[in-house]
Amino acid sequence: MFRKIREVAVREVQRIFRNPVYLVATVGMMTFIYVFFFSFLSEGTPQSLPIGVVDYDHSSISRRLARELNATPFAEVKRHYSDFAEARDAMQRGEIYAFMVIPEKFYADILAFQQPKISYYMNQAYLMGASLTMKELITMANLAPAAVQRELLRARGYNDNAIMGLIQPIVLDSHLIGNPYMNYPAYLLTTVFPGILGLIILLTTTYSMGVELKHKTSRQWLKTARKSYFAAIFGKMLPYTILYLILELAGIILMFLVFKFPMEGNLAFYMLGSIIYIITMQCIGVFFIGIAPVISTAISLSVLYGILALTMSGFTFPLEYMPPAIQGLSILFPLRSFYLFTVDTTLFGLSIAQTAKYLPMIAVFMFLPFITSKRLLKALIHQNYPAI
Amino acid sequence: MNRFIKSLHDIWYVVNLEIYRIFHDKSAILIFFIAGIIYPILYSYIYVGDNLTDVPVAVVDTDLSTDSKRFVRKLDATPEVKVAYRCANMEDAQRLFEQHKVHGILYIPNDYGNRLASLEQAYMSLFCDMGSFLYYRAVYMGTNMVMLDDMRHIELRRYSALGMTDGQAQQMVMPIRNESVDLFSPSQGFRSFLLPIFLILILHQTLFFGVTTLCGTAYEDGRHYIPSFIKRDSIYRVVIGRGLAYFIIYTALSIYGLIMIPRLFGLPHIGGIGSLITLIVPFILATTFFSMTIGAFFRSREAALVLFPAFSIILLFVSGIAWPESNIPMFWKAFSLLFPSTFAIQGFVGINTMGASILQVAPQIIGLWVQAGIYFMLSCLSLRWTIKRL
Repeated sequence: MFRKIREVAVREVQRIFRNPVYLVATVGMMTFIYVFFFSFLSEGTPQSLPIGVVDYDHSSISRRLARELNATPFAEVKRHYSDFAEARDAMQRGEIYAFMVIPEKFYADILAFQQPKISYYMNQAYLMGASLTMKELITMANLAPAAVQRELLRARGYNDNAIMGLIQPIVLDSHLIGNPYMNYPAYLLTTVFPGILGLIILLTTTYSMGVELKHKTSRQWLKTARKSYFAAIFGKMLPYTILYLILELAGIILMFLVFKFPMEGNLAFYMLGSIIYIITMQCIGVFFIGIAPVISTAISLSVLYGILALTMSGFTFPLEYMPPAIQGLSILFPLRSFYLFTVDTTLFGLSIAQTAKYLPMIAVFMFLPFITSKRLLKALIHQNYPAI
Repeated sequence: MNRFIKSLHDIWYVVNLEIYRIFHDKSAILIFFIAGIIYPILYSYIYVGDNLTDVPVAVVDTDLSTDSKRFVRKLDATPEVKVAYRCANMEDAQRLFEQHKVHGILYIPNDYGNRLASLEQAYMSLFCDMGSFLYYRAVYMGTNMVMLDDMRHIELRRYSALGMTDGQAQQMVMPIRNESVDLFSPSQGFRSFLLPIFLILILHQTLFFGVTTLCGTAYEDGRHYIPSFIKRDSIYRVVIGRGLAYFIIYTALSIYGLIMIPRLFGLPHIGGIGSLITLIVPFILATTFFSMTIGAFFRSREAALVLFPAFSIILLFVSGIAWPESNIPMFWKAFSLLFPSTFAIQGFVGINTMGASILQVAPQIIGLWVQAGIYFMLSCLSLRWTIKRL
């Protein structure tokens, strides 16, 4: 048996080096993905997002407000606009994510206890930019009145301790579990990388098998395996398994060792989970070519399923907020379980005993190729499906 | 003049030939029509929840004073957060958190009420689930809004205790009022934000994969599907003819995806239809010629579909909406200019979501026309190269 598998594997390695598609689609694409995301997100969570100020008052206090807003980490005052219409226009052009309007007679109204109103306008069409600047604007909305209160209370002769109790009676300290510095790339890439690798695995698996049917080389493939269906499939998958594992390992080294993404749990166990995920995705690829032994159909199926998996994992938009029918479908995507496994291991730091439950939920898909094995074997022998 | 009529005749012949090829290719039909029609509906349905409301949190109130109870009650009343569990200790809350039953924990220490009563600062701790950015946003915003509101309540009480009248206390607490206005997508929703981007990407990617599949097929068939009466010097007629065939199909698909879908599914759509069409025309032309330029390099039907699906995610990031444009490194910003999707996404979000006028998105529209021109010339060159290669 080992000899049969070895011979199929050797044949496959030769095929990989003969056609550039295999290496470009795997090593080339994944390298590009790693280089892209790590350089694209090199800044981490977006900082200094451009915002605008419309200052109708031009007083010392309105200028100070703009300066303080500029000093916050997420916001940077890009320009002062002369009126509301001009600022709105800049927002529609996508130049700023938010702007603050300070009304006329602002300073005079504060002194006269007229409670002037500052308005903040946020562009929710840019969710990310708006959310981060909103955080700073909330802080400003809190700090600006507090600064005025402090001046008024000082004038009345209160000491600073008593003043803090008066102007900020509640102190809320926030802890971001597992990701204390709001490392946005860590949140994003721990799911995007396995998702893209999963897509690439499906594509190359269906392609490598489909192309044998298309070019009618499938009988020769079976002959190399001496008519053993198992050796044919296993031997063909094996070189890719090693290739994907190297690509996955490169990703893990980059994420957790080079770029120091949070890893609260057991790294070795996380790697075991990754290995299971990779082999499972290969099995789903074999299943796809089994249900549709036509190369273009199987590849289309892989694209549809592989792209959808990123959405269905629920890492951007949580699954619980999708329609019930879609939530039910999520069990068909191992990336969903792998995402939960990743959160529990890397962020929550749960023990092996607590996270082990996800592994069978991923591995259960390894049985899929057996369902279609007869159909695929027939197709390999008879080559009775349309070539394209 | 004769020459002009001859060229129109040639172009029209190629248009018909290409449309015939499209409708006799199962993959092309699948990519153009099935994917192009189903994807917009599918994603509109998946994200129909739009925004996270009532995210479950656990409260560990070890104080149980009037002040802490009021805070918890207010927290439960926010649209963002729901107090799903009240736990006696942190261990219980942590267990719920680990089981993904709650996405935040609010801990109130047992001296909370006393500290407030003795005019000191009182403390509480919030623990946020960082598994998804949207959980964090809902829990963090919801709790902070309640805190700001409750602080005013406590401040009023304290100023009254200092002997101020209600009016004076009110002025002290709120020397400045503020209002925040969400423009363009008042729901702050995820769907309203993401779907317009997806709608453009779906058109861009299906057109690209459909065209590259047809190009690869031509190579495999060992034919270039160029009528013998078109000479090499007038190869542009083939490019125009094919482009026109895709243009006809994608005008229909764009009207469906970019104009009908937002109106049917309640997505933001405050842009004028005239402005949208001004954007759609150069978008389709640029994408068509871009795809034809790249398509010439493929030697098999499946090659593009095996190599490039992961690229969709990169196009999403470089478009400058999903990730703030101001924070994209220079190199990748330059890289993004190669793809029609970048200008189209910015222009579409501008017109459709923010109601921008043509003048306000003029840079994007001009960018698309420039791309259309450059890629038209490049696709003529790459087609010539293909013919020589065959």
